[in-house]
Formats: sequence, C-alpha cells, structure tokens
Amino acid sequence: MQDAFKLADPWAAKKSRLKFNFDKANAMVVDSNLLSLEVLSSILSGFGFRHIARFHDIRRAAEHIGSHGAEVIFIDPYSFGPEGFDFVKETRAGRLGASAAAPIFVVTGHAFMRAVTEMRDAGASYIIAKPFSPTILLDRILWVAANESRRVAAAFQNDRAPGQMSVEML
Amino acid sequence: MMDDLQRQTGLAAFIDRADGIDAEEALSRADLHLAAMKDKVHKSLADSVQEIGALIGDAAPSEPDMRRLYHLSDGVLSVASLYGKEALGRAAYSLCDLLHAFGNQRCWNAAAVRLHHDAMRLLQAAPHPSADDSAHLLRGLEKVVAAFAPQRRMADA
Repeated sequence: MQDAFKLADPWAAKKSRLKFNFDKANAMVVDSNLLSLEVLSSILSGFGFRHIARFHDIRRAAEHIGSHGAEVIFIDPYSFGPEGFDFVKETRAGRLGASAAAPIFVVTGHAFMRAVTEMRDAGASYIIAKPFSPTILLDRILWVAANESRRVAAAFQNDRAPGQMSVEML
Repeated sequence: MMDDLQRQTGLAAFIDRADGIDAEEALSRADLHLAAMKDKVHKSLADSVQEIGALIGDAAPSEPDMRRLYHLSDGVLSVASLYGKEALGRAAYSLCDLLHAFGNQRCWNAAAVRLHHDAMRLLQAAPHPSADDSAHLLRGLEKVVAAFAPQRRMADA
C-alpha cells in the first residue's frame, strides 16, 4: 500500500530524476548562532553550493545583499529580534537591493510555531523547523527551484511580488 | 519574458542540468561534510551546555543573560539530532519552552532550569544513553514545563 502511494507521488518521481548544479549560485546564510551557521553552510556545500556568504551579524548581511545580491537566502531571523523580521521584509520588498525575488528560506528552531504567520507576512518562501535533516532541506530547495518559474510568472501576472504568493509548509 | 523571470529568481536556472548531480549524490556529500565536523560539533555542544550551567543563578537572570540562555539552548536543539543526540535536542527544546514561559510570565525558577541543565549534561556526556532512560528523563522535563506552561506541552511542539 505504501509503495502505491510512493509511485503516485509525482514530486518524488520528478525529484529522483532531477539533476542540479548549484556551483555558480550565490547563496547567503544568516544565523546568529555560529555552530548552526556552520552546520547549515556545510550541508549546502555538500549540495554543491560553492558561493556561500555567511553572516552572524544581520547588519552586515543587509549591507552584503545590498551590494552583492543573492539567488537564495537561508536565515534564522529570530535571534536578531525585530531586525531579523525587517531583513526578510525589506529584502522581499526590494529595499535592500535587487534580490526581491530570491527564495528566502526561514530556518528556525524553537520559534518555529511563532514563525509561521510572521514570516509568511514578511514574505518568506518556505519555513523549515530546526532540527532538520539534509534530506528535508534538499527536498525543499529542489521543490522551490522546480516550482519557482511557475510561481514567479503567476505573481507577475497578478502584479504581486513573487515571494508574497504563499508560504509552503512542511 | 520567462528568461527575465528566471534571471530574477535564480534557483530555477540551476536545476535540470546535464552537468549536475542527483539528490542521492548530494546527500552523500552532505553527510561527508557533516561527519567531518563531528568532533567540533560535539565540543561546541559540550561548551554550550557548560555555559548554560554557568548562567543559572538563584535569582532571575538579567535580560541579556536570559536571552543568552535561550540562544544557547536553541543552538543545541538546532544541531544535536544531526549528530545522534536526539534526546539532548529534545531536552534543549524543553528548556526553550521553559524559558519562553518564564519570559511570558515574568517569573523564574532556578530549580526547574537546573533540572534541565542536569539532564542536558547527562545526555550530552553519555555516548549512547538508552532509549528508556532518555524517555524517562524527557517525561520528567515535560512535567516540569507543564507546571509553568500548562497550555504548551512538548507533545504539541
């Protein structure tokens, strides 16, 4: 019975065939906890990301995204207080540079339950609860990447910013 | 139009690539990277648990110390299970619950926090705590949290 469900899952089938190369993607990881920052960066490095800008200082992260941009952002905003929320909101609104359409993954621990509504409103693309496994993280990254073009196209048709469409939950 | 959109988003341009790797290979590489950090992570977890212990006093901590306690505990729960320390991660989550409840109610109970710290210390130091022992310990912590935050139990997390 379980096999039948697996076979019927189109995303699982697509994902198993998907090949990806994040070698030239500019990723950004923002987390005030150094260990968490390092572990997440290490997993992303395993996935093939070679350009990972890491920040445990939210102001420096904001400066960096303003000057360099990013194609994908991973952030645990809660330990930064209101500045973490503002970072997500301002990035999505395009006030920190040209990365308004970049997927923003909010990766957070104990604050997860609070994050759902707040971060959806701020414009996060996806919210992932810590602790997460590399399997979960990769699945969400690939899902967002695979659905991104369709989501952005729909957003532009509706005159909305891409990240304000929806928040996909685990 | 689609090209413009893809340039703006970014990630879509990096999938469906003939020169790419598949999920199985990516996960295998990620596991190798995580394994390389094992000693460093274990030391860091031990340091965090030790610092939590040092911050606990009989009187309520200052606001910065309270934030630091929560931050350290949140850090432990974030990575412990990736390195086979699931019970430690759950104990850290319980401590976050407790501190969150104290913050909301503006109260402090040093014994309840010390109990969490003792449990975390044991779970961090034990190479392979038995499932029964860990479950027993975590049930005890859950009861402590329930006494201060009855409406928010670990089971709801």
